[in-house]
Amino acid sequence: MVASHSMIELHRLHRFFGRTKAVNDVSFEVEAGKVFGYIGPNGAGKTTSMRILATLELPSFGDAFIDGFSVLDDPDRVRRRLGFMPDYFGIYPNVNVREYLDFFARAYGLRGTERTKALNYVMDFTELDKLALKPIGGLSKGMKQRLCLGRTMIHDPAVLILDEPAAGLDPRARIQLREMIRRLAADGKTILISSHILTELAEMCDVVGIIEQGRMLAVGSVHDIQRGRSGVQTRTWVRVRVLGGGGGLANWLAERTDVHELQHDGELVSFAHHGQEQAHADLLREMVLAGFPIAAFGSQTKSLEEVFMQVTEGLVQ
Amino acid sequence: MSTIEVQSTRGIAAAPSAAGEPAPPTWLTRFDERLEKIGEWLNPILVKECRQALKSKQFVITFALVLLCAWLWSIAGIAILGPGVYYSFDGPEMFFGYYMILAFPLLVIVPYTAFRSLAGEREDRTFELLSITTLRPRQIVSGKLASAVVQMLVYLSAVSPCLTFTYMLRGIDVVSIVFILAYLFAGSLAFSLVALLLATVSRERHWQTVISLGVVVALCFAFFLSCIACYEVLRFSAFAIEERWFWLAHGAAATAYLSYFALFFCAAAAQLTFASDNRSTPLRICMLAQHALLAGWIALMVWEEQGEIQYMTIGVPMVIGISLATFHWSIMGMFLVGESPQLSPRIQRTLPKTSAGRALLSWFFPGPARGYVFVLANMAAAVGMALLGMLAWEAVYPPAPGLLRPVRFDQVVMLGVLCLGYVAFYLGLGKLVLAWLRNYSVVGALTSVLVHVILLLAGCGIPLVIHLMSDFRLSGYHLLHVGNPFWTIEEVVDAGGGRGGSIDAVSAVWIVAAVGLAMLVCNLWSILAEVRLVRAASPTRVAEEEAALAALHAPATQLPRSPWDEVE
Repeated sequence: MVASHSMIELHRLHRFFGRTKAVNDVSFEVEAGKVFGYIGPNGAGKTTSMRILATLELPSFGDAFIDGFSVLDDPDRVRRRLGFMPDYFGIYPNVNVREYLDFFARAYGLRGTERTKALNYVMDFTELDKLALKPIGGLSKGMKQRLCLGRTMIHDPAVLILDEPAAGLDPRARIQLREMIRRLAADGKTILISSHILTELAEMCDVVGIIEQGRMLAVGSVHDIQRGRSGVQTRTWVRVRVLGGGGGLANWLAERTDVHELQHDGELVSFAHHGQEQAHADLLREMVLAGFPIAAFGSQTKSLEEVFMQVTEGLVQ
Repeated sequence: MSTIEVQSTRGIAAAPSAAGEPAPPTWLTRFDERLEKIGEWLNPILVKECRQALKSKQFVITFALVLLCAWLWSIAGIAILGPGVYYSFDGPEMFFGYYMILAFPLLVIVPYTAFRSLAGEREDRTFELLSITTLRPRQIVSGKLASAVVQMLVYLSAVSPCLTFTYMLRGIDVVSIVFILAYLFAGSLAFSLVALLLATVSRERHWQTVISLGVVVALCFAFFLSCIACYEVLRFSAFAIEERWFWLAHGAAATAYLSYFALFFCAAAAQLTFASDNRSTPLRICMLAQHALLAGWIALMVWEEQGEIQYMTIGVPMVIGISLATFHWSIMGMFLVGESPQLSPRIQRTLPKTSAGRALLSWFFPGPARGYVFVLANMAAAVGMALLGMLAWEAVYPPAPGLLRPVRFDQVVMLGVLCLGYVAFYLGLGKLVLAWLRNYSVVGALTSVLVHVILLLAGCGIPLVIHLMSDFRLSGYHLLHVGNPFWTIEEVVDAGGGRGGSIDAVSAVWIVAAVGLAMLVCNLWSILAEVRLVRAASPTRVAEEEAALAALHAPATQLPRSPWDEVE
């Protein structure tokens, strides 16, 4: 689906529980067909904002939109376009896999061959066809998670909101789930996904947002976040080799305010530098102008996990 | 039946026979396909609950127990009757035994299962998954109710051969069996609906436990009462179907049942409705329908009994009508003035467009001030109808000279003014208190009821305490008790309102009318604020989609079918 507006939009979203600000002035947009990774420590406000998007909670202030429709004013239109996979399974007793999916297909208004096709497609996609008649109670965690993903996409929604879909899964199930999400993204679905496994998010997501204590700390592409272009001050690890020894350079750098964690070992000088690529280029130019014989200058991009640890303080509400 | 089974059945039907020709569809296959087509349009909740119930141990055990008890009672009954089974009138005794066997699952198990079904969905959070589907809240409630009906029918089917057997014995007729079963069925359905409504009241686990316990106790008590009622009915054989009054009474009871059923159904659906949706309008329509039914039934009863009434008084049914209307609107008003004054943009998009539409229809939309006016308008209509009806009646049947009527016209006027004044005062005061409370906390329906009960208790209790602590005589009515609607109304109606009664009662009518009017004036600002709201325009995105849908469903322009069409 090609839309002139963002498929997901949060506009100054607030949600208060008493004095606790679970979501505090959060705004971001996700374009159609993009995968947005929602990162934050436990209690940061990820699940609350996802539940508001899924029309399960009301915001205290602000609004959220799915395909241009307000979750407050047009929840029924939002629900037709949205698949929400919460961080719990939500299963019924005495029901098998096919009956479970069949029930949700009926609940989404699918009838006749349309429902049969949707069921077959989803069971094939999630590789649950061999388990069709198995009672849900007897499924493993990975199977249940695939079943929940199947339930989420049974009505072919344009937007998928997945809250910690990989939590508690073994590596094999996690990889399977990741592959499924990649295929959904390739099919043009807009996906908002939260996870603690940041390496996987870095591989899957086009855009990530880091939230802590209800506030959005950084939003941008994974590349931008790692390079500090997302509005947060990130440090880049820089290594310099100086011919004839790095002692002089180390002393020169020690006087600068944008350099931290300075280390010196023979010709090698390494340090954390505030700023983006242009700042590194300016620093290199200043070093050369100062007369240091620079043999090598390299900056190392930080991993998403390192950025996350740097940006957040591990605080919860 | 799962789709897989159907597919396999269809596969068999379409499979080529050994000779290479397709096998003709059997009647079973055709019947199966027909059932599948019907199943497509059944409520999804009903389909799911039936699938679950068929596999649940609880249902299997209960059903087996009902069967076993019915068989045991049959054997025991015949053994006790002995040879008397051929000639004695022992049908009612046997029927009563079967009734108890059937009534327990219908009045206790089925409603409690309905309660647990919805409460369990909320506890296990499957309700959240359900609520974000395209199922509407009333579909969820009706699905749960339909599932309860299926269970009732299954239990009934287990006992029905035994019930037929009691007819074979003498002493009980078909009419009694049908009516008793109809009452039982209606009772079970009503209890299931109330249980569903109670399951929506709170999400907190501790409250759910308390409510659950209350539901079990109430259902067991209802079972006990129904057994007593059944025994009495069988003993006196009270189904006089040839009597006109029997059908009138049953008609009135049936309409009351249906109207309250609709009200509770709408209330349960409203509890499950998304907060920005309109929860109130269906409830207000139900309340108005109940009001109209009450007026209609009183009018019909008066018409039916005109021969009797013309020698007595028309005042008595009017007093009953005004009293019932006051009770009805006081209870409903407590809930209506507890609504939030904020109207969501979604509801504002459906407000009446014109000023005349707003003046007539605004009162059906949510809001405490709209609810207050809605109640007062209906109360005024009830009083007005009663007075007009009485005047018209007395014009047709003028009072005979010297006939002392138990209720005079002026008493009915005073009663109407009093009732209207009390409703205006207590609901208006409650509304102001709730508006103040909203500054500090979220106000729900239960808070509203609690506030009004406290106000009423204060209005009755504080003057009584002052009275008890003073030198006044305890026995008589005093103007101090003007806050006590029960005593004041009783004084006006029974004591004759100043003619042989207390003069304070007449003063009380004036005071209550003035205070009620003053309270209405105090609430006028909020009433105007709510009525001034006009219809909001649909957001651009919604308008776009509606236009696209309209274009999709618009009739295609008729294509010319012949060259002559083109010429035209």
